[in-house]
Amino acid sequence: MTGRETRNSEEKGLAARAAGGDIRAFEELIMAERPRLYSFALAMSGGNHADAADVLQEAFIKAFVNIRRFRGDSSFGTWLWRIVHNEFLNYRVALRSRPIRQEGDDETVSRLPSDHPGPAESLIAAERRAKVLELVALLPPKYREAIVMIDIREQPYDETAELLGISMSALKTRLMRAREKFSELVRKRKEHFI
Amino acid sequence: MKPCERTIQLVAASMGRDLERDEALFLKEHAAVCPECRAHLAASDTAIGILKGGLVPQEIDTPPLFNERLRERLRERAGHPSWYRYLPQIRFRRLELGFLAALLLLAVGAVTFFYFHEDAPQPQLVTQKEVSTDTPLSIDLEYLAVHPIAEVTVTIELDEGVVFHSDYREIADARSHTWKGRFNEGINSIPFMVTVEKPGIREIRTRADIGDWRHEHRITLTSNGKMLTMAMYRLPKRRI
Repeated sequence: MTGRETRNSEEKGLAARAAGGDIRAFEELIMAERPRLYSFALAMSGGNHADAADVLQEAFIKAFVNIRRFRGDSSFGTWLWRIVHNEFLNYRVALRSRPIRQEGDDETVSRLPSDHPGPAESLIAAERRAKVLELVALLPPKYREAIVMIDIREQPYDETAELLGISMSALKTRLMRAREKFSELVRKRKEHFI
Repeated sequence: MKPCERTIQLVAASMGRDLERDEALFLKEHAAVCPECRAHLAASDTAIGILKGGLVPQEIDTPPLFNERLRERLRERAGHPSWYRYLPQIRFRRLELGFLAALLLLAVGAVTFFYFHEDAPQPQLVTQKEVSTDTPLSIDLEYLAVHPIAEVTVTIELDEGVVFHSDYREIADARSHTWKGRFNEGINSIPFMVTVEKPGIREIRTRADIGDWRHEHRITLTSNGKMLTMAMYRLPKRRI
């Protein structure tokens, strides 16, 4: 049995236990993907931790509720990513209580972990990072997730297309449109980056 | 195509590949005569550099209490018989600054596995709650679809005295909102928040056109200025 087959078998076993109400089995299933999914959720929600946590919680609950539907055709990770993806498509940011980020609100960006933390990161850089996240959050969900997955998270095209359930050519078209919209947004708010 | 439009496209293209020599030359020549595009190109250099420069770490730990709260919710689900899991979910809304002020759950199963009451002549009470008027009321319409539905229209209409709670003026000023999209298999959420501005009895009407069926809810809000009582009723679904 290959490593992949072993892993699939383990996942099916854990999923069966989770379907029977075993919470620990479910937690073990989601453990590996959780930090990556949270990173994705945070980028999708414009760096807003509260929204990212809300959406991810809902996705995990839905995964638990529908765990019987996991048949092992794909990895559990892929199955879970699809649920999170669907959750964001339903996520109506425009109807939320506040914009992704308000002018002068640095809480979001200051709490956002950085690969280069410390005093070297200037206030201007932090502000610009927040502005970029804000622009990404203004994109429609399907364009936003294309930018987040490919440009921000640098996920492979084939993996992204599989996760989104679309063909490679459809992904490329969507990504091109997303980048054009991003370019338009930068143009409209260029004063933030000059 | 106008030169400025081509600039937008080429900036987008540069996010995925190196520009051809003629493309780069076009940008250089056009930027020399167009201040708007010159500024756009300068801004794009910065913005794209940030976007592709590790804007968000690849892995981030979930916030404190995330796992505890998830476990609590999973226990709630696991502690019930299997059919319970398919009922509409309770959704909590976390507000800014750590205040767990307006935690109000509203679960609505407009499309559930159970259609026992589809011909019920009277509205059914789905949920009832009393909250302080100090905080906005978070309402979450949830529809459980047993298969993907390509075209869904959900409309939310407010009485006078009730407003959408949003910092977006176009949302806050509107009396109704209509959402069009698709439902995926599973639970589909339409969350929104409202504030009751004046004491009295107000109503929110929701209408979801799903396939050949119309699913409606009536949400009554009774406010005495300090406390707000909310009751959500599901009307019998009917053919459109």
